[in-house]
Amino acid sequence: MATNICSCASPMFPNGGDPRCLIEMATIAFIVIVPTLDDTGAVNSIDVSSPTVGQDIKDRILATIPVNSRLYPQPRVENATFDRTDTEYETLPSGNKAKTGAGGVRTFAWSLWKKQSSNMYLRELEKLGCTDVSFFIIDQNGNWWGIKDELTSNLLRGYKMDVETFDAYREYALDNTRQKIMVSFDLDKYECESNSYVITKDELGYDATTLRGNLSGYQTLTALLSTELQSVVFTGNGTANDRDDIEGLVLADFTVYNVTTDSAIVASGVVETVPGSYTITIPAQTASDVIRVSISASGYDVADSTVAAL
Amino acid sequence: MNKLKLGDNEYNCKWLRSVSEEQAVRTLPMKEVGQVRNAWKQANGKSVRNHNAEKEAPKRKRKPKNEE
Repeated sequence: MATNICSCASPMFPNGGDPRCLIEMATIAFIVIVPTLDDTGAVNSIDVSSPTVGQDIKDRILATIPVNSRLYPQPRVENATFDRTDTEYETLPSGNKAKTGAGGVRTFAWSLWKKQSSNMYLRELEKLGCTDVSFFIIDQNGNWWGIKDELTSNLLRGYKMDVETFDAYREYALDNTRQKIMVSFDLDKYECESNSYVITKDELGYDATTLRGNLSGYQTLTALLSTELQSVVFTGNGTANDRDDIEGLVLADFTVYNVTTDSAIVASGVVETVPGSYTITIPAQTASDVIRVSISASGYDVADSTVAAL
Repeated sequence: MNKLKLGDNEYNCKWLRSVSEEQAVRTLPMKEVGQVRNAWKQANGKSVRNHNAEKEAPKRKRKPKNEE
């Protein structure tokens, strides 16, 4: 918000004393997207009073966290710009003028290149636009920035994104340039940027630029036998005929469930027969029961898959 | 034929028809190799068990023509 008054609270007039210490926001490293509201309708925020705030943040990135409460670190950005439209005024014939409240819209724009310019990631970005999302800013100093609505609050929420303005597209390589993904969106017009607060890397206990997002994973599930399932697990990367396999999963990463009887199935073994292809041994189930396999591997967000039992 | 029961195991014939014999053996490392090979052969029509074979009707002898 740039054209509206953010606060009329007391003390009422602008006192101009210097802070004892100023922590400036450095150049943006990347953003961490978060759904604006969680499943209960509450605003997703970080409890900054927690003595383990740094670990709390790391834990909320894991794919085991419900999707609407999870934090989604994005790739590093380059060439970020923060243009702002002019504040609009109405000028009367007398020459008297006043702000109308229009204008002052902040546009975040940047490019992604090298590994961050993959088609797979562009497809991930195209998921934005359905749900209201906010974002935290990670600056190059490793600090974590968000919005605190009240001075006495312990809750830091993300900056609201105007998701209707979100745009991402491919920039093709030229003779003297590399391919890129161009990203832009507006900050919600009524967001109060002056309410920005920081969690420093000292308070986090680590440099926030070290945070990494999960990789989307997919699986195809087949019932080989009444007692054996095959789960082929892969990411959206790779070549057209050579998928990027997710390798090295173990028994503890798989959860098998009988959806028809609403009961857990205890898998007794998992063998990776070829890279990314896992044979899971389970007790025989009633034929045609729907069996669901979930995978929770660190660094991945793998979609569940179901199959009819033999 | 969608399912094939050999011993305690019920095999998915559709899957067995979609892979090579060696792939089937490799994908089922916890199963006895001979049984997997048998299942693959049966699912792919390479081996027909006697009890599964269709019984042919006995041939009738043709009467020679102009037999006197």
